[in-house]
Amino acid sequence: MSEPFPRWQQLLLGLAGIFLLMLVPWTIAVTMGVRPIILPPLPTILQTAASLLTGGGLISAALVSLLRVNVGFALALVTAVPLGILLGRYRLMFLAAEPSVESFRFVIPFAWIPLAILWFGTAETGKIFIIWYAGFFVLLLPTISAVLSVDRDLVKAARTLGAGEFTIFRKVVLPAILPELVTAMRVAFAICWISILAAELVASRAGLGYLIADARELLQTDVVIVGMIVIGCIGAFYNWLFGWFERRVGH
Amino acid sequence: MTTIDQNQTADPTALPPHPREVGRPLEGVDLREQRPAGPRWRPMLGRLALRLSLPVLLLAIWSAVSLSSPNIASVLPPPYRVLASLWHEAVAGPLFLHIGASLLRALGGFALAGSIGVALGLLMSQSRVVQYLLAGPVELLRPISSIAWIPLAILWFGLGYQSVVFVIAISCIFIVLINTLAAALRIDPDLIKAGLTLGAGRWTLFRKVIVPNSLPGILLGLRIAMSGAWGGVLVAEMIATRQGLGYMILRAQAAFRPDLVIGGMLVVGVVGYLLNMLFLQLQRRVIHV
Repeated sequence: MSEPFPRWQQLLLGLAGIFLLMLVPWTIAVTMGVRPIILPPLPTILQTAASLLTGGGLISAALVSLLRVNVGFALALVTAVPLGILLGRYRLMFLAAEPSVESFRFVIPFAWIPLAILWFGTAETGKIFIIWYAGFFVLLLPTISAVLSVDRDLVKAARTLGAGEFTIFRKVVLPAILPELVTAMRVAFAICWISILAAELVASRAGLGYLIADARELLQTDVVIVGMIVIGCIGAFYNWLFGWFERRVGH
Repeated sequence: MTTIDQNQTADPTALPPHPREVGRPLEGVDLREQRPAGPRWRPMLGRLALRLSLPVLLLAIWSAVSLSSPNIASVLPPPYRVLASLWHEAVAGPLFLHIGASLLRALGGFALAGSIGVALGLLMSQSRVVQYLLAGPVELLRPISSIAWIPLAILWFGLGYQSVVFVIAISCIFIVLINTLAAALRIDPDLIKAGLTLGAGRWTLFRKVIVPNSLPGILLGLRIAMSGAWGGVLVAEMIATRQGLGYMILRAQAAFRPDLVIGGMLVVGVVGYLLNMLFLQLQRRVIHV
């Protein structure tokens, strides 16, 4: 196959693709009389977006979801990473924990939503719990495997030179696992983001998930689509953020 | 003994590591290198006891907490009650109907997205213009999480299985497409040059070189998509249908049946595990041939 095109040509073709494959068929469908409930006209979407942004409904919903996902993700991070380091350093603990970790991995976070409602009602605790669970295992397993792949000789060398456990951790283990950890954080955050939307769709009175579920019941397709765009933008932003971090700590 | 372990870690399929898959390489970690002299069964028995210790402990804590007061038992029933309800639901209730409905939808959406995703991915790998043209819409739609499509799916297809299948298809298609494209673009250019030198036409090259060499990447994408489909079906069913495991669990929650909620979660986990196992077997078989 031919050589890759220059960057600006790639971008131009991509924009042409969006125009030809999405916007043009959309406009044709609308002019041919597809009901606005199925596909609202593009100008309507822009108007809705503007009024939702200035009316504040969208921004407060996004802030609620962002707050939840960040708190849950932070909790997952501070619980999973230390545990992962412990399990990676001490083989007996790893062998004892592995079967349980492996089986919990298959109980998808979404399956916890009804139980979280039962236990916590629609309170914030339930949502934070689901996000924590969604992030926990996705962070734990890569942390363990990263610690396991730390060069043993480096650890031995540090020990021979008189380093204590804490110094070894700070100077040898942590720098070695950081690149893999950041990659795991990127993946985990994406999963947390999906999980909070799911939890908000099923049981919530606030947040972006609730916003689009509510708009669906009121048959406001334009609001649903604007909500989806915001959800996509936030997801893309965090993906970019962790990706940037990844390149900084990576090789 | 050791040779078996080596076979397991030196996976001939040489899958690129994926964060969801990192559980696998750990299986190769072994204490047996440092096995002390003595009867063979003793360390193995100790190992078994060690590995069973945490699950047993967790079950014991669960039972103890749940039996400590009737109030707690009403929201966290003891394990045996969960199993009993599950058994009752399987024998006299619609458990298998729900499992079947969920599986059918997950596999339907997966098959739909899998075929479209592989076809588009291979198409994109063959022409730069097509690749960059399609990259626009793909990159625009990809960040929107599958779950966010549920309300729109209901508006488009109404409540029912069509919405669920659509959501599953959306949740699978991008993973499959991107893995297919990446695998096809990663093929050694020398292989392609060799094919061309030997007189292969475009179609022969595609059929004999591109497709077989992309297969490991395609299968990896399909397997990740499969676990995504199993998760997506659950949420979609909670909102859009009156059948399936997702509906069953949410219904049990509304009816205040924590035993059935937890039982349903167990079923979700077991089916997800079996699907993954099945796919791994398939993957091994296809790639070995």
